[in-house]
Amino acid sequence: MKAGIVILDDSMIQNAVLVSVLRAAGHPAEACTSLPAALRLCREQLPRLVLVELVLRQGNGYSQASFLQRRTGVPAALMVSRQQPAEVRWARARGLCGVLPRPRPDEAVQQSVAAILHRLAVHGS
Amino acid sequence: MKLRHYGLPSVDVVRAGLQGELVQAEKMCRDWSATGNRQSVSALLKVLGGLALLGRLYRLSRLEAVTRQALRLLCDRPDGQRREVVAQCLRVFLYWNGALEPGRSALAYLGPLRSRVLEELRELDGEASPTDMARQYLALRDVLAGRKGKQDAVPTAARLCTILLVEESARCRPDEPLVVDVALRLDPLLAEVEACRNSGTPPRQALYAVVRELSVLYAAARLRCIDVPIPALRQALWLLFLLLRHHVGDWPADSLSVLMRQLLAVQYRLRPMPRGAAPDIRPVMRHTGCFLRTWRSAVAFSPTGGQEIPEPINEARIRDELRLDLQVLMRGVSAGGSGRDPAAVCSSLSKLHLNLHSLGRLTMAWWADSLQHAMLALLQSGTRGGPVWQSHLSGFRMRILPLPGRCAGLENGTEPLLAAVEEEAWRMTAVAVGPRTTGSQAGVAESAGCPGAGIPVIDQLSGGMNLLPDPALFFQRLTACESAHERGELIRAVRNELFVLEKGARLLGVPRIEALATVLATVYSGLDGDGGIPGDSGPDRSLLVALQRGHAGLLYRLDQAAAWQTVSRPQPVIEFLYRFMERRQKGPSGTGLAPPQRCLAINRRLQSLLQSLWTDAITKERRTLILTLMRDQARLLREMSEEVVNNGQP
Repeated sequence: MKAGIVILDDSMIQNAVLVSVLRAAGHPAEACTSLPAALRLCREQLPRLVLVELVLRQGNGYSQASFLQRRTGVPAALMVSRQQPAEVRWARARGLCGVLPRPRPDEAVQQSVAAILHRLAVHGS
Repeated sequence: MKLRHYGLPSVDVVRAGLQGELVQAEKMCRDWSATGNRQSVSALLKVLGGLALLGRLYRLSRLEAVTRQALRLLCDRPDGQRREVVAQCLRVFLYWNGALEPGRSALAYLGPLRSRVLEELRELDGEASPTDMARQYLALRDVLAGRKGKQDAVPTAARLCTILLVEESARCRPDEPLVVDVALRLDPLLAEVEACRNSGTPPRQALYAVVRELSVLYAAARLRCIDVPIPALRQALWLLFLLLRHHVGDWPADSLSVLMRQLLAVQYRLRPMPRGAAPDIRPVMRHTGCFLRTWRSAVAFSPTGGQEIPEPINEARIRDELRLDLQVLMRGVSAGGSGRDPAAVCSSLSKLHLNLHSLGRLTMAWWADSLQHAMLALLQSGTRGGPVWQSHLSGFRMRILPLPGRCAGLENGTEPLLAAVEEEAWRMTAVAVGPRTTGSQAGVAESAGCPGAGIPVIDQLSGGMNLLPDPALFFQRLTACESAHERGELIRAVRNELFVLEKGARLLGVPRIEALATVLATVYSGLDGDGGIPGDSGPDRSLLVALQRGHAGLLYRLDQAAAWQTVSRPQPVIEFLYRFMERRQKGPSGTGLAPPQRCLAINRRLQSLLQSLWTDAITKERRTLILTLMRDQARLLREMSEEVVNNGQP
């Protein structure tokens, strides 16, 4: 199945939950736990969006999201737990296309993803 | 007519006189509470204004504060809160009744004296002037207040008249409007303040005179004797009090700049535009000229007394650049109020705003930004008349309020809320530009930038940088620059960001980022030192590689900090940049990576860094000792490395 959204998070449980939520909303999603895997997925499947977790055991979300976006041209958004204003501002400064807060109810996640995708469709990446 | 000689009445007589007044005031208060009769409010305002002035003159600070609070509430007159306001007023009268105790002799004597003067003033015929009356009244007042023998500067007749009429609530001449040329009185005082600042002496005396002047105006405004914007007066007074209370020795340039700004704003707004008049850009230009003069003198202020500071980001150099911009801007402002000049001044103000912002002088940056917007508003509304100007003016006022919460409550433009927010904003402004300390608190306040210290340093860093978060774009622009001037501008911009980052990292306690930012800034400053990047050929490849490595290392660590992770050691990148700089300065040195040679290189860098530090950061004795120890260490390291080379050991 061609992925519409790629998820990069080193927690397999979080990945499984998010993938099921996104698929339920009609977004084909694939998850991976490492940067090389995410890079390969993005190059092969050309998703519409890649979601990167901020806090990773190896590396950090800003660097990896920015790297993926720069190398593959796929818009990247950050997944954060606290949504501090400084986090949002730095994500914007790094050129990322959005910030997705979690954990949140499924509907909120779906709405956030839909909003980001709509903005990308209207304004471009 | 001569003033009758007033003997000192007994305390009982005094108490009775004042109590009579207070009883009347209480009656008016209850009447207003019961019937909502607005005429009672005017009378109450006058009584409270007089009481407040008494409290200030005789340093009854608690009474004064309570009275002013009631005055403010009553002045705003929220009909929905009439009961609370009445209760507050009655409480004030109760306090004043309680103040009439034996021992409050000065207050006691003033009451009946004022009543007598009032009677005299009511009997004045058309030819008599109240000026002499006022002068004698003031002289007696000074004596009663215990300032016997002290000769104050003789005030002008107009001022005397004003003081008396303000204090007596103008009951004697109810039909004669009180015409007060407040701007003329403030002008010489402000000029004196400016002169003191230029000569480097604390303008304490002049500021006290300004306080007295503004206090009179404030009381007069509260008593509805003159038509001036009360919030502006209140703000200026509050700021003055705060500065005079906290500054004893040196006067930080920023504090005085903020104060001058506020005083000039008060002075400007004391000349209300007549209704229906076309907007006039000349006052704004004059205001801009004052701002520029103020900032020019602040730019000339050097904390080290003019000593050259050879640090990577030389603030003196940035000030020199600003001075050049200011000179151009001053020429534009002084050229007149024609249509083209304001536009040129607008664009220059915009640039000045950015420069000030990057320097961390955000109070002045706000001012420049506000002036620019005011000019833009004038340029846009010049042909459309008064109402549009008024709407732009309210927008302009909102822009000078730095509080983040200004939007929600101010859109309906209610005066009490606006006044309260303005007062809070300026209170926080005064705190933010308070005494400079070497600790982090003042730095936080200053670096927090937005006056009011409402925006944390971390938020400013995360949202305030454009070039450092996107090195690819920066290098693309750097290589695409067509002239040395353009390249220099870009490099200056990135150096400014590094400077701000260095300060912010220091305040946030992230030394690894601070150190790397400092070294990277050193690389950039070295570009200017040795002739910079050649004008036509652009940056050479080795320089680009070094800068890209530095930027990438810094950005990675910024990402780590933003993600709340432990920042990696910056030593590899720092070592790389230092070796690049040393190669660039001295040519290929053949320096290997053996530990003794690396230690020697680090030792030389430390020596160079210590020699460039300010003498007041490290005392002379300590500095000498440290350098001695380091030279000894360098000698040992050299001997070790020679021994290694001679013995052929790695």
